[in-house]
Amino acid sequence: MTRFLVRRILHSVAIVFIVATITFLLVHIAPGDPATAQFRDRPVSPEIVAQYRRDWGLDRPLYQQYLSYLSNIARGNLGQSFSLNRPVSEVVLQALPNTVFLAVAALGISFAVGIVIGTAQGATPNSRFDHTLTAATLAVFSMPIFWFGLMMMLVFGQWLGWFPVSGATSPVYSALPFLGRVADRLHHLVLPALTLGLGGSAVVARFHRAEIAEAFAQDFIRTARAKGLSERDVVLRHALRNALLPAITMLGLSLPVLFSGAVLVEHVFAWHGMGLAAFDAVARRDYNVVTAIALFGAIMVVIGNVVADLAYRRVDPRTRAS
Amino acid sequence: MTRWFLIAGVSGALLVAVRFPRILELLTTPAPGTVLPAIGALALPAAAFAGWYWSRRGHSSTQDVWGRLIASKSFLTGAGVVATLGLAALLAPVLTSYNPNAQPDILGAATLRPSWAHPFGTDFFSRDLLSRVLYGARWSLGIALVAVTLLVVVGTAAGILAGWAGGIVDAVVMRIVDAGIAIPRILLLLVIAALWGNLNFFALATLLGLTGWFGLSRIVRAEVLSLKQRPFLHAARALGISRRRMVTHHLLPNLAAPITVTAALGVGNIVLTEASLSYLGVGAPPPDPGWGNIIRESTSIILSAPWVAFFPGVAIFLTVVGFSLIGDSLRSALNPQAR
Repeated sequence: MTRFLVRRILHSVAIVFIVATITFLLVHIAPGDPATAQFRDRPVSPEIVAQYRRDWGLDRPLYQQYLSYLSNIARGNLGQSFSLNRPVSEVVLQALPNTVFLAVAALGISFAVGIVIGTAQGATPNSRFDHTLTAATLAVFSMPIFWFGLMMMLVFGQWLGWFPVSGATSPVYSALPFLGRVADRLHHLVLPALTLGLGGSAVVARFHRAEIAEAFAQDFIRTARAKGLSERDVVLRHALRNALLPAITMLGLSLPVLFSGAVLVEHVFAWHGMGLAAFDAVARRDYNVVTAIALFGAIMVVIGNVVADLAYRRVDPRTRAS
Repeated sequence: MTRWFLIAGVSGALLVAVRFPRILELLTTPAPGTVLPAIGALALPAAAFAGWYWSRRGHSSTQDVWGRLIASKSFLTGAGVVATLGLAALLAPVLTSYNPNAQPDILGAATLRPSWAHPFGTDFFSRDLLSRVLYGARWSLGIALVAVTLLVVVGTAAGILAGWAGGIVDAVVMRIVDAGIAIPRILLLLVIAALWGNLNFFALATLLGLTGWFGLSRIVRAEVLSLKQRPFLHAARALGISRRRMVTHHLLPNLAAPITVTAALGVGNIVLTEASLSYLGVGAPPPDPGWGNIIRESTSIILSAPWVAFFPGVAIFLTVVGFSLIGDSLRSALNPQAR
């Protein structure tokens, strides 16, 4: 177990290292440098630009800059945001809770809904019910998530008026009592979380349907039926339990897609998280913030994958022997 | 054989383009730079398929695959949807008489409801939406086809390299792939867009292709690793055939199935990603229409003119559904025992 963990962590560090190298290279092969970006719209003397380059170490050889970039990242120093004039880590950490809140809710919805649909389909393969649901998941899967969000906003926010259409809280949030604040947050969460979650649930359902169908073809299902278990027990206690294992792997794999989706959904619903922060930073060409968020996203994905692997080993006894 | 078909197809297209500049003009206005993809949208897949079919004519397995595809309802539906969209993109100037960028009456004709004169209505700048969606297909489909071609080439090459070479090369290539998969793609693309600023058609297509090959290279590598153990490859090696022949005659034909399926599904994926980037404002340069672009411009008027957001979204939706149906049915036709 320890050996596995050590190997897995070394592997993850290697991935993060490569991601950091890629972002460093991207920044340095792009036209201009932080100095020209910083003074883009301002006429300043060349001396000031040179001074800025010296201050930020941009006049040093590339390999030195690379090494100090890596050591800065290792110490959690992500640099300074040009446009906000604050440390990047502050910008990222401020946006983080909202994104985690949205992502966790969406992940819950996508796995709950996806597994229920997938199981129902896998238990009755090739029935009309199965085909209808396959068409439905294909449809949800094929919609651009930002468009799906806009349509949800239009129907449930505007025409029916059930949910607020933008922001993570209402303007009167700070004046509300504690329970009112919780309710307000949840009320704002519904549409973005449903948009992001239902999009993901289509993928989960398509994947899970195949797993259930495969479990159904196994001998232990025939045994379970032969010993007279009800169909309900066969599905829930035999097929589903076995098919849930791959879903854990799926959980780790779905994180990058979830993050990409969150960037768009946050933009649609003006949800102030990391995605919106990244988008705002792009608009201001503040690429320190954008690269930091990309790096941060990659680190979270890598951690998520390690956690999923560990959970898998914990749940599946077959992997413990080695 | 396939290569002669490609050469004939490309030179034929070039000949037509040089001989009849009027066709070129019809095909390219008003979004410059989309001529190749507009032709390629139909010609490339058709030529590739024809070449493949011709070169393997008579093989019973080819007949089987074709027979299963033709018998599959979902393939026919998907192919029908895709062909309709491709034709609509090519024939945009015939199907609509409006210039997609023209703003005839910005005060009087803005955000008109759908009517006979404007079947999809008009947008905030009084531009005809049907025309914008039709011309937008050129941008969106064209980008996707160029990007998918690139994705297939790079992903296959990287997968074969990693799987065949093994050892340190494999480790390095696969760690790069792991890293590429770990970065949320939209964020990576946003970084690049932030650094480089506005991207033109080919820059965006290249970018989408170069950030999309990671999954395919994993599939190809796994396939190569399992092929390496098969007797026919041992035999080929023992006969001392050249490395090139090994790749072209022994690996690629056996990799064709997973690559084709990934390519078909990849088109839908890239259409979605490109639309997302354009929606965020770093994709198609305005005022030229791309589907994501049109939706982006519609958000400020979504309450008063929801149809402006609705129709381009449906176009994206149909494209992705079409290519998914083709990809799924190709998968089961090429690999019938895995159903």
